[in-house]
Amino acid sequence: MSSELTLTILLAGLITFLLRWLPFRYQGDERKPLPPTLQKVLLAIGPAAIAALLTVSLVPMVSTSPLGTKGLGACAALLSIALYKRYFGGIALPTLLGALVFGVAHYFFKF
Amino acid sequence: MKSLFQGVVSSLSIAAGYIPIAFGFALTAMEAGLSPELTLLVSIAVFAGASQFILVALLASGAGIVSTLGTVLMMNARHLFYGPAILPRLKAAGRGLPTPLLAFGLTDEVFATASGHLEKLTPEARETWLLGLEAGAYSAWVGGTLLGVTLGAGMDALPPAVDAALEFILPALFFVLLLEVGVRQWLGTILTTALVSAALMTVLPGYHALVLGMLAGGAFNLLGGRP
Repeated sequence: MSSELTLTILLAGLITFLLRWLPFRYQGDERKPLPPTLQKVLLAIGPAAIAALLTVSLVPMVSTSPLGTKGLGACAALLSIALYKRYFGGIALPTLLGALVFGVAHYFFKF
Repeated sequence: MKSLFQGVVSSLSIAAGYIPIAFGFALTAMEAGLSPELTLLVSIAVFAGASQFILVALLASGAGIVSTLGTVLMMNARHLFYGPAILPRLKAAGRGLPTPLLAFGLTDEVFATASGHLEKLTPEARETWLLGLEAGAYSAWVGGTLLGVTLGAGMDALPPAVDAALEFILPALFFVLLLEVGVRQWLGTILTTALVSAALMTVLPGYHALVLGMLAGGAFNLLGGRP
């Protein structure tokens, strides 16, 4: 059983690595430039990926009470991040601030 | 070396999120019945947050190897697009580092951070900066898992407010990264992605909605977005 688990984990790692590496390997060939259309799509993939990750991580958290205390807690956390980032910049501290605000909101409103 | 160090420094923002989540992953994995050694192996070999939680849940439920690996494949399919999006910016000064080394650590958060930062670097510095970013992120992830397997067994449950704060760390990090890449200049792409992802989540699993929403946002750029 343990050897089957180990094999499954290693194969999962290999699959994940190949998903990341094969496009690098293919596109690394200078004789195969990407079509302009695809280049335009890929240019936007970064912001799109971040927006999708944010949506997919946030929606399940607040879907049970989007206008209730949990949704408001999330809004307060995001607002605190935006304000901090506007005046002080950075990435780590605004991230932790947002988590802190959400945790404090949870403490007081018990959602 | 300087750009490598700068990459590691840039990874601190990712580490702030990775360490507590990796710690939580270790606790979840051991609660599901995985040994500390296998728990650590998952983080070392897979290095992909959400799919690790799903992987552990499937292993604990006794799911077969084929369905487990198929789920991992579907969940991580979005990583196919990360390399092609990053590579043109790395090509600018020619490439020197082996692609497997650069590709291994290309997680969501590494990709998101690199997307917003690579353009600000000189072309010569980009590869080593990315390597530093990935090394720092990987160390944080494996280190957080190691902390979890070492300390987690003897811990009582965390207070609910702390649990809630940890739950919000990843959404907070993604929001910060979105502000980094610039909301105004990518507004159409962002709104398209968010609306499509949210709508699809009502009928599809999250990882499908994520990939399709992301592609919708990419496709929006064809309609007159940024050149």
